[in-house]
Amino acid sequence: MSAVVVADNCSKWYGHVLGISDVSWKLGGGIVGLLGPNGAGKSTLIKLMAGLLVPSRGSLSVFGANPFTDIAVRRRIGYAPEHEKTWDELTALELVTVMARLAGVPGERAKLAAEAALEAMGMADARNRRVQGFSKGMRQRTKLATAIAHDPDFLLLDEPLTGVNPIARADIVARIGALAAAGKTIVVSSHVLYEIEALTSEIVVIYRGQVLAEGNVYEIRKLIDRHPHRIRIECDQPRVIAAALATADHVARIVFERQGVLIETRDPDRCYDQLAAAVLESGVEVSALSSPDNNLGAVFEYLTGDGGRR
Amino acid sequence: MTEKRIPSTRSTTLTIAFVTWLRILRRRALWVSMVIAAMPVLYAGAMMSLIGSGERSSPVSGDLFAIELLVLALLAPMFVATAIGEEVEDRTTTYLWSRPIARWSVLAGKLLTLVPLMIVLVSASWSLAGWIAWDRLPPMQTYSALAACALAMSLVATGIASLSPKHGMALTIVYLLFFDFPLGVLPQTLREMSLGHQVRTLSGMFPDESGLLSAAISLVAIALVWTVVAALRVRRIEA
Repeated sequence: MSAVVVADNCSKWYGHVLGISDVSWKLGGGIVGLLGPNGAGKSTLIKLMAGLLVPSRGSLSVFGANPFTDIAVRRRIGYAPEHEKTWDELTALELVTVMARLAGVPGERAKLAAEAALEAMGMADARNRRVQGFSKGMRQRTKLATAIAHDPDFLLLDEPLTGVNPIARADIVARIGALAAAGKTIVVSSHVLYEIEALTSEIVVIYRGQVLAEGNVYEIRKLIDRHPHRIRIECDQPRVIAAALATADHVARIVFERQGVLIETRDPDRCYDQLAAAVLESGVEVSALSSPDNNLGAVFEYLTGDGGRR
Repeated sequence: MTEKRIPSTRSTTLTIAFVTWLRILRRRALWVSMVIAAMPVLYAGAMMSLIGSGERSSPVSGDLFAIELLVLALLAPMFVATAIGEEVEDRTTTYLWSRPIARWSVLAGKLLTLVPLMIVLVSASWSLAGWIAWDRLPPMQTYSALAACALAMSLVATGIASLSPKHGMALTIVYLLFFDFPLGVLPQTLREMSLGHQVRTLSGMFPDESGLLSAAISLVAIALVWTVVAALRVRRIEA
């Protein structure tokens, strides 16, 4: 399969501020997650692919064409920006219809396409309401509808899950999954690992404007898992849990905290198994279980060795 | 499956014009502009009540036309520069520029709605003011001059807003009121660059030695310069 996107030593600066630096990357197809903390360069890369920015150096092509100068290639792109601003005076149906028309869907068919897109995003009931009264989740869905109404081959979704409540999030994830199943190539950005994991196993890690790692999320997790993985257990009897795991060879450190215990392990899978067994045996009441390593800061701390600090 | 084709420039321009119209209708700007357009009418009413109906004379006509130009110098930045500036500032250009459209057609679409709207507003205002001041409608030539002025000032506003989207409205007002209009009272060679001066000449109310044709050519030239600035600039604006 020929590459949808080819970036060749592509750099972008905003004055003296770096957007992305010397990125060489190819995107084949399917869903790919762009993962990186705020300011890493995800939105810059997406905007370059959407034809909104010109590379300061190097080149970036989409379907073999320059998306900034080649109007025709933009017909194949659907883009949902990260910001919420839109033409708020319009109803959702008017907005999506106009966007479909501007993307080349003719006359009455644009309205039908807009209705179908809003339906696909679960916005059919709100289609005649003005966007200015929408919640964050509704705005995200409307944005996604504007991106898909003209049936593009390539979707660029910049932080589509930000600020959305968990129920809406699960729904949007399912709808994006359905688009991928329909054969679309999709790039989704996020700064939250589990959001990306819910959408795809193929991720590209971006940090300080550079592609830091790329591949299957499990491969990247393996990289991450080479350094001690932290598991925070909030429970009523942290010492019981600590005692059950203290002798395990994979446990590197145990730290008691105010509401529980933090365990550092070199083998997260075994640790989770033993933890579950210990909880079942002892009857300890666990109120929360989390991994601080799911936070991207810990990932970059490992991958860059500097804790994600600039 | 949706049919895949690139929208024509005509279709894009009309779509943008439609959106611009919807947005104008649903905002307060239209009401504010009506208040501004009422300025000459109020002035005419006030002058007539002071002078008395028996002494309707020409000094008022010059003032009235100058106030109509002032109204246009406020409406053009308010409508056009704001419409362009806020697309860039609100980053709604990210939606527009990612579509398969020629960027200048977005500007054309906005002008297609806003210029006729300004012409309607200022013509209504001019007619009412004229009726109050002279008991009759002003000459047709003055309407043509005001329409040309609306278009030319809108193109100036387009050019300035594309150069400085954030301050487009303020800069256009400053340009028109503090550069263009004062230029009109300077010696012949300098006032040729004044849009306001050319419009006054075209109206036939302020005869000038350069003549109507020369005024029309100068007006087109000034408007063309700003159109080229806008067309070149909008191609390079990043979102």
